[in-house]
Amino acid sequence: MQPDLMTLDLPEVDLPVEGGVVPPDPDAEFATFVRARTGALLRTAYLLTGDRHLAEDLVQDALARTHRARRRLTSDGHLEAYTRTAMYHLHIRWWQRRKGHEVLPGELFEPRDPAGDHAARISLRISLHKALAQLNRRQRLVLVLRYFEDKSERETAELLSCSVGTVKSLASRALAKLRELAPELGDESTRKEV
Amino acid sequence: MDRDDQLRQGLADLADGAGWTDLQDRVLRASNRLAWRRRVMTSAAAVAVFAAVAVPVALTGQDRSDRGGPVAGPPPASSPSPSVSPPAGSPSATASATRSTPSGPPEETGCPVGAKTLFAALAGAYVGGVDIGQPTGVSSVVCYRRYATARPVPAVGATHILFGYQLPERRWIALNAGPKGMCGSFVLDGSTSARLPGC
Repeated sequence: MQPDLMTLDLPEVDLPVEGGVVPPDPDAEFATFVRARTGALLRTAYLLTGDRHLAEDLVQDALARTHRARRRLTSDGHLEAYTRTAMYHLHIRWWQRRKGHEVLPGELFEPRDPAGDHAARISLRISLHKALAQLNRRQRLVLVLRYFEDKSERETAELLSCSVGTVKSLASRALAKLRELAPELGDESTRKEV
Repeated sequence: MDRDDQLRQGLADLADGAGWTDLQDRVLRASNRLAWRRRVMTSAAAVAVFAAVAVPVALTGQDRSDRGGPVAGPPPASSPSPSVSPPAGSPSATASATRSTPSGPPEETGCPVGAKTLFAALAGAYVGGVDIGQPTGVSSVVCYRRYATARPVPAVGATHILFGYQLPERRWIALNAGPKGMCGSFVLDGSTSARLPGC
């Protein structure tokens, strides 16, 4: 059953660490982490893959690697950082294996829209979905990290093990292509409405 | 709303399409599959190492006994040689080639550690998807406070590999790799990462 979409937009969670010193049971801590952060991880994975089922597979594989490493990830933030790093690298490796099949097949899931110009937002969402599918995996990853995860250029470069210059170049090309493929993004009328 | 904000808003709207699924059981099953695959790869690597070391030793011993005949001397070398690679986690015979800073009792920090021990820890390990080539060993080992870095042999650019000393198992495991910034996601504080090349 689909939960209320409002509950998906979780804030950064402070996982409970009893007494602040004694590390809790790694299995219990991992289970809590999975429950709390699956939604947020799926959102990022969905932007990277463009498909709900592929997003679930990507998050599942990243979490499985975190589960193997859970005993040495002694702090709450490390679970999240490890999972996200694994997810980004797995995403690139998946697409390296599936070269030639980069068309994102996912259907666009239609969430509820509480207010605003519904048609304009849906139109922009569809354009964005199609435009993201035309970017290569690294461009898409950089856009998601910079504009969805709000990472700085330096943080993005560290996550991708590349230079800041490479991140700038990838982001610049991705934005240029996005503007070409989804002109609504630069359209004044859409801007006011969205 | 400027263009960047519009893109942020658009991505956030699009991400709402991700939905939500309980992945707990799937993650545990995938984790078990990973563990099984690693065990198989580690066993295969151990068999290969044993074959590479024991067979030449046995053949050499056979050759010696054929030539030497029944004269007094060292016993035939057909028994396993004590110089076979040390167990993982213990200081290796090559530790003299490593650089380490005293940072606590060796049984708690794992330091000093040898290139052979760290190379053994690489077998089947996931190092963040970073290309480390097809290493035949590691070099330039630096060890400090339950962490060590080393370079793959042959070298792949400026890539280093980060290792961690796991307690209570007292064994080294490969954590990550990269030309730089590979330690950011792990437990390293500033003073530790400052001592490790590649961090």
